[in-house]
Amino acid sequence: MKEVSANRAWPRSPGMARQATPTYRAERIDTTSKWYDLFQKGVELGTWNVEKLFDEVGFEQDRETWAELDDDERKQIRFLLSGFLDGEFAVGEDASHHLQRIMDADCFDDNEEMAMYMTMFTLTEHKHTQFVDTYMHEVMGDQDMYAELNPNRGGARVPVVQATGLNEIFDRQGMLTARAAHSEDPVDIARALTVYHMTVEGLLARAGFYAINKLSVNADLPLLNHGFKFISTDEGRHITHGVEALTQLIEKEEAGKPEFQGVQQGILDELYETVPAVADFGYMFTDAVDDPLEIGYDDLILRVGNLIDGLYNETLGLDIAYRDVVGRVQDRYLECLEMDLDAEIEQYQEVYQKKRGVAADGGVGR
Amino acid sequence: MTEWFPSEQWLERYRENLNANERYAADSEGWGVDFDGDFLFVVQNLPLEETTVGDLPDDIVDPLVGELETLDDDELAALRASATDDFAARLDGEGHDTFVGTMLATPLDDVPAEVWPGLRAYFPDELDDLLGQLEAYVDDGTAVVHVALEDGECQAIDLLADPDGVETGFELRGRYPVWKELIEGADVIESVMSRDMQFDGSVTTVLEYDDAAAEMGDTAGETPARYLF
Repeated sequence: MKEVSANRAWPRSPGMARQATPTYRAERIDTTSKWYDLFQKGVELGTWNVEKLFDEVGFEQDRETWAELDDDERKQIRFLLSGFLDGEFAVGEDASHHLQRIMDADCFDDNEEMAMYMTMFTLTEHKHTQFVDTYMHEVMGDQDMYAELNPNRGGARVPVVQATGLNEIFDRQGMLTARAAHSEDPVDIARALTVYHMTVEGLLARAGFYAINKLSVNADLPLLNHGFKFISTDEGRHITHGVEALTQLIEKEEAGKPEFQGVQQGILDELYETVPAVADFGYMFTDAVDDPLEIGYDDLILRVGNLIDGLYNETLGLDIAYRDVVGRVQDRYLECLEMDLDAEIEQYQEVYQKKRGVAADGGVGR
Repeated sequence: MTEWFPSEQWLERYRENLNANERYAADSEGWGVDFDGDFLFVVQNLPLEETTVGDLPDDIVDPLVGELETLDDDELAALRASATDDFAARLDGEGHDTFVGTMLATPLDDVPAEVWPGLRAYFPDELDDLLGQLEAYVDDGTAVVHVALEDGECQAIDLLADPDGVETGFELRGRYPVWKELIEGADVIESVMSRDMQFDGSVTTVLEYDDAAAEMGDTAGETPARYLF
């Protein structure tokens, strides 16, 4: 039998992906399950190797471009990637600790296949962290990221993430996924999956991918682009998983099952509650830094508006209060405009320095 | 009076209604004062190719049919003799019914080329005016409206015969059926978010005046319209 290396940087092309109809049947595993299909797609397409990608594309061009960028351009990219860094850490942690348990809840039909897919899911989340964290260090140089204070060790997030308030969405995601994993209540689960898959992955991450695409017109960063193409493909499967899980809960609510009543309202409530995070994230890497690489907050918000309609209206079939959604994003954006971001960042840096037990001296980490 | 949409008359009525809307005036105070607040409304896919004269509403077409059916034989013969080649080629028989049927089967897009002045003279004023507007302002199924907005007032609203090079702060584009839905009460924000309409310009500026935008939509919905298509 011919061996195929599973350790190469590049996954096989989509044209070689498995067909929708599985070739094999099993005894305990349902190979016709949507989650089995996602698992298998993850095996085939999600096996990109971060270190091999570094080796094959190399850091040279990205480092050269980084060295040529103006300070404000570097700041813009650093802020954007800081959001991803803390975001990827947060989703990786919550996937490991809580989503795995949530997928075992009785309210789902395909627990075994969901659990299989979650292994791929969690692996890819950690690979995203691996890529972003390493890229920032290797390309953007030494910077004080307060690693020993990171949330996984009871510390805090990157100062700019704290300063804009973007941290709140990650905190909420952690709280809701933990609660849902504990209660296994369908409405709790719907709320948790909404924040995780719809807002954080479906809106924030995809807004970030859009931004990386746009800034690449003015900044030649091939490794960053390659990495984020893979991350974007992975996230697409994650969002599909979230949508499928939420759809299952909605169908059971509509079928009249008592314990599922409130699922759709829970999803909508979480949309309204968390959608202002789009303004936090979008603002921090556009208008907050005068947008030297011309990403464009307006274009970004339009793009996110399209995504909201696509996810909630077209895919989940929910009736969204569009004006309420855009009003909440706009209100938060106006709050961001009132903010002195640099002063806020300095404040968080001082807090972090104190946590270290050293004098607050205006550390350079942002 | 209920005006036809799309037409200069409906747009002018809309402008009057918008300027009479006190809530709009209050909500849009400051709009366009230190920035270009003008809009282009781009109405795409107007169905001129697939709509014939006979497909237009009866209120418009019936008077034309009445005029043509009462022609005496000599008048009809004179008209036939002066017909354009394309129109004559489509005439398949004699008599009033054939002539009227051929006229009604003419696509709106072909009216300028196929309808000659002698026949056009029988067109009732309203139909003649509306067809004239379509000829003047619709290019490749697209009509462009310039809406001049400043500090709570709609200063002008004009169909553009030559929109090339006209620049405004904002632009809203969509297919004709989507515009029709808007006028019937659909939400413009939902239309943009769902990609039924395309928007160019500063979203944050529009959202700062979102109540004014809502009033513009409401006023459109409250301006009576009869639809050509």
